[in-house]
Amino acid sequence: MFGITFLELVLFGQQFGLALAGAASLWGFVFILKGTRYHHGDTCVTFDWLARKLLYLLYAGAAIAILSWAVLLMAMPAYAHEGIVIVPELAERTAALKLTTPVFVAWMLLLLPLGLLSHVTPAQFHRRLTLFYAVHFAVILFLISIPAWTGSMSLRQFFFIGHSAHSIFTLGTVLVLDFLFLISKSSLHLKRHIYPLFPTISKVILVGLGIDFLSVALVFSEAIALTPKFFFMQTIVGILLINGSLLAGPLTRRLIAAAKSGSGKLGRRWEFLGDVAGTISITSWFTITFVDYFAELSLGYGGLLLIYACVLFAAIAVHLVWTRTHRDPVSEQLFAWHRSGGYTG
Amino acid sequence: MLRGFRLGEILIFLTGIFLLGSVWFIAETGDFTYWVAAKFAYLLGVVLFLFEK
Repeated sequence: MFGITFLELVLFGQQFGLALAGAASLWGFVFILKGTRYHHGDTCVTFDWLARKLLYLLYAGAAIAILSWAVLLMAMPAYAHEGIVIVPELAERTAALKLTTPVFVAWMLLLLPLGLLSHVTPAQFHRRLTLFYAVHFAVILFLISIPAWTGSMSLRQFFFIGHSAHSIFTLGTVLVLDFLFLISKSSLHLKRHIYPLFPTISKVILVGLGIDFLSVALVFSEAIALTPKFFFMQTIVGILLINGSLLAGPLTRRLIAAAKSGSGKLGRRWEFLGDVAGTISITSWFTITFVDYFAELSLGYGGLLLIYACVLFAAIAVHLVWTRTHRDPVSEQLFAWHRSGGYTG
Repeated sequence: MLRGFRLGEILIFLTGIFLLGSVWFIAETGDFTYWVAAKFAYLLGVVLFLFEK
């Protein structure tokens, strides 16, 4: 449908899963470090609690990535030998799959016992959470950096590395940011701890996009083709920049100010603006990562823009309804964690 | 309109508008000059944004 092939869809699944798991590892590691800086007390327990919450995102991302890798392992050789001419990019993808398969297997074998350990001996597991996140981040960074292997560290290979690995800092980090925003909605205590981190998280996202821009510059003449997809992607990047400057700047400062003093709530107008800007951000990052994986899209510029607009309006509607009706027990969970003193109290 | 923005954020905001214009310009003329300029302006905006308190 629309020129989308099954193989491209699975490759996107792998990229999405790795980006999510990689960003969860990165920010889990940061939160644990932030927690240990305070040793005891509220801040330490809260950041420990947040770091443990990110395990859900790590496991979700890992499940999607490993499932996609397993499908690729079965589907890729069939694709590679199909037809008379092997498309170079497919050959490069097959080479990358061969290169990353042992690491994928090791990662899978590592995840299962560690997942069990986190349930059987949670206190012991928690003491090693820094190492757990650090190792995961290193493994995932390697896996996501080799979406294709050219056989040498050429400019083309550096382009693949930059163009793929930036997803941890962009799409993955945006997902983590949205997750943190949503779980802090009903807790002023969490808002006071999480919101001051938003400027740093925004900086990582913007630097991630910069890494992509620089990687494209390495293979500029090869990478650019004036297709509807190119014009569409650049339009979305333009929207992302305008939206990102609003989200990372005035909106974040208002959120931090509201959390520091008073109830932590923004005015209705700013709250609505924040919800819309946040949804534009997540939808747009998802869209450009998704569309990037399909080489032969049959849709024109108008068609792509229409689908994007429909998805965006649907996402805004779902987000607004969800945030105004859903009350999660996050505060109660956090207070119970506080009463028990966490694992470090 | 740009009240409440800091220098790096203003540059990133304007880069977004400039990038949209440059895409239209590529469609009309096939010339990438403004598009490349927009990308470098973005990188400059990010550097400013990183060092702004």
